[in-house]
Amino acid sequence: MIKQKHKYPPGDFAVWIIIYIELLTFGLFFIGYIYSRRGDIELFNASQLLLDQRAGFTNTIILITSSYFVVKAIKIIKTINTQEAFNKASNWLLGAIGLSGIFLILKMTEFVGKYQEGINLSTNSFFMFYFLLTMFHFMHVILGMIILFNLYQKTKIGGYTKTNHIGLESGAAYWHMVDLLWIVLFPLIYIIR
Amino acid sequence: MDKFTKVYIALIIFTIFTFSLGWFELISKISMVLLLIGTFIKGYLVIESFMGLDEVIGKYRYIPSIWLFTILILIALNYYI
Repeated sequence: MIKQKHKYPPGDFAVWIIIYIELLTFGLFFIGYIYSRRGDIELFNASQLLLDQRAGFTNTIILITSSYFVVKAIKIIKTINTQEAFNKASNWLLGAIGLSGIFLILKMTEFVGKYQEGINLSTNSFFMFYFLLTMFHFMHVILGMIILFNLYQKTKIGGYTKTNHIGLESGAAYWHMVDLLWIVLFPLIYIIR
Repeated sequence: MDKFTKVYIALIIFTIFTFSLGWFELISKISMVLLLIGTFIKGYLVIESFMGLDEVIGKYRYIPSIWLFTILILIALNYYI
């Protein structure tokens, strides 16, 4: 059976406008980083070695897994609408919230570690971009976590159904965007040189 | 195993690959090009599968993929040319 395709992305279209704007904003930051690096490649490469790649790797796994949990929740809501299904879906969302909390703790630990080493925004251009990009992303994770918590609460009481799940899809789309941004950030800041 | 679980496993494998290149200092032009291709595949999987854009026709489907492709091409051009 051929699946019918839609003209508009899943969820509220307003969220997609926000997503496109966010991608554009982060894109400009990425371009700024790339071009600044060109001016002092050795400094960027040497500074990059001071970052903990294991923390970046762990955070990538965490965000990908939380995105997967959100997908699982949506899949349940779109297929079954019993109280048991609502509980299951909300548990997946709770798992995603928990993981986003771990992400924030790990990132915070990384920031504090850098400050204790005497590294901050004004240390050099690399660290200016490092803090700017990762802190900006950090704020998006916080907002995403708040959105996920609202989705969790509404899902638990059966607020989303097979036919009415636009809110759930909108929040999920935002969360996947946060994941997508980190997928680019991780190799760019931590690995590529 | 459903489509999303397969995508999730692929994302984890690509992430391990990316990390391994950095951790074992396997830094060369070829490995970095492979890393960028891997990053594109990861992002594309999230866009198409997790974000559900594989069920959409027209321009709205392709905006995030074009964004991702442009950023990665700019990285490749600036780093290695």
